Amino acid sequence: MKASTGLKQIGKGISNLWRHKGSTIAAFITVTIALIVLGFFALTWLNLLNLTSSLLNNLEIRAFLVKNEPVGKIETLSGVAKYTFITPEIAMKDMAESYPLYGDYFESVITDNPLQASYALKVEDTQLIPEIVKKLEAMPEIDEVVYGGQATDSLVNLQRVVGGFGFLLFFILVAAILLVVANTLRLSFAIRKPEILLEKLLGASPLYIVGPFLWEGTILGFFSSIVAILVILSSYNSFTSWAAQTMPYLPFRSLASIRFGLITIGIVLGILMGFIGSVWGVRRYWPKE
Amino acid sequence: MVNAPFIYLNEVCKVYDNNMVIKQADLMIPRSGFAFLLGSTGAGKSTILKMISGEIKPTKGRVYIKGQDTSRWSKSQKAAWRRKIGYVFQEDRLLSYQTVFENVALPLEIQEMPRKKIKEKVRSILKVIGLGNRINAFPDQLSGGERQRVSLARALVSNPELIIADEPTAQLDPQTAAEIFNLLVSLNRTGRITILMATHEWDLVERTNLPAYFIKDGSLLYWEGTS
Ligand SMILES: Nc1ncnc2c1ncn2[C@@H]1O[C@H](COP(=O)(O)OP(=O)(O)O)[C@@H](O)[C@H]1O
Ligand SMILES: [Mg+2]
Repeated sequence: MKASTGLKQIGKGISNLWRHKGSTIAAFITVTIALIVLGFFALTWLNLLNLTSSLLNNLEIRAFLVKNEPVGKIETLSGVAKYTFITPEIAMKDMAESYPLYGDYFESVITDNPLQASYALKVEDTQLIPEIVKKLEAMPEIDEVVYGGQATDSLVNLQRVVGGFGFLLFFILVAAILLVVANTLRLSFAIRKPEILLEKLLGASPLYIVGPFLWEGTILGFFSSIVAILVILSSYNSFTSWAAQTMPYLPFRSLASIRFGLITIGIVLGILMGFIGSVWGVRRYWPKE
Repeated sequence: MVNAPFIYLNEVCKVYDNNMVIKQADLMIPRSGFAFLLGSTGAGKSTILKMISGEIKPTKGRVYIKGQDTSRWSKSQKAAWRRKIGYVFQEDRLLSYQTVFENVALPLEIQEMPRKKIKEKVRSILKVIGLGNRINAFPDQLSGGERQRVSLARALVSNPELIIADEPTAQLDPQTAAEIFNLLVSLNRTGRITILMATHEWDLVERTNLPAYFIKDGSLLYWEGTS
């Protein structure tokens, strides 16, 4: 094959896309919508993961003590990643900061601090929380243990499900969309069956016949991914600024943190889907001898 | 084989799902020869021609091209042979969404000829064939005779070794038919191009006295002609 053949085939691919505008536009819209669906799914998934893991990371076990002094065996308990000993004075300060309007009042009026000393514990693995809570509750030095309880357990499960199934679902979705893309391209190639047959009868090489089709799928996938990315980025932008006002306490991924990944993965997926889709699409029209 | 015939069909048989169209046929055409393939509609003319170009395989028997058994050819050898044939298809097989120029240029594109050369060759063949002013028309803007000439131009443009013409004059008025036929004959006489032409017109064969294979009941009869 000559070096110029590749360029010629790109040219032919582009001119075919132009020549068959109707089916090009139909295929373009289908592929773009498919990629947008995929993008929204991926973003929802990412945010769910983000949400559960940030909630879990903020979880802590609070162990209130009988006496106001440190307990060594709590600090060395296995599974505890981080501990903070909170004296009644610190607890009071925290409380004062939480209620800025009454802060001075607390400190000046209350002379005999009624708050208990406590430990704030972070665990190595959120799955271990119930077990650690049980051990803490068994210690005589401890008055009361406070943690998320049932909510924590469900959150732990949710994270597992979202993480595992989300990944699986993403690949199933990719495969399903690939089928849609292949079928769309196959339909848009259908009108050119006589052309494929004729070229074969005139002695064209397989590469000569198939090349332009592959380029068409690839080019189509590329432009679809560009449009899909623009749509996703701009709607995500509006979503995050809306969410920041209406639910500021929920930690959504920022636009900046996903932009690069979304653009690169989007373009790669678009091109790959277009290419693989056109291979499948053109295979059906490969004339038998 | 040094003196092998250009085309040689040896005891060829073709069955389409239980329908034996060609029983046992032998056919031999020397290089630069001319032969008619004469037979009524449905006799199997197109079937024979397609076996020569390799579009279909014989059920039994062998097709030899320049002494080579084509059943042993690789895909790329088959493709190379097809590029040496100028085929005037019975159904003209013009691509409706391509212009006359693009339709005629296709065999040269397939041979990966430089663009500039393609332009020259296509323009000159269209001029010769009387379509110089229809170069940018689409097939459905042409008359039956013009379409047939585009089809012929596409077959001639690549300087083929062999022209296979499957009833090239069937759809045409007598005058255009005669013009196209005369063009084929002169390509054979002056250009030394081998030509095989299918027709159902008895009187054309009688009038011209050129060699003919006559298909009857699945067998081929050879008539040498006198001219
Ligand atoms: N692809 C095919 N499948 C089944 N039957 C066919 C096929 N092509 C041709 N035939 C049959 O073979 C016979 C000969 O066809 P053909 O070679 O086209 O005849 P001709 O060209 O002489 O008119 C006809 O009866 C036709 O119906
Ligand atoms: Mg026929």
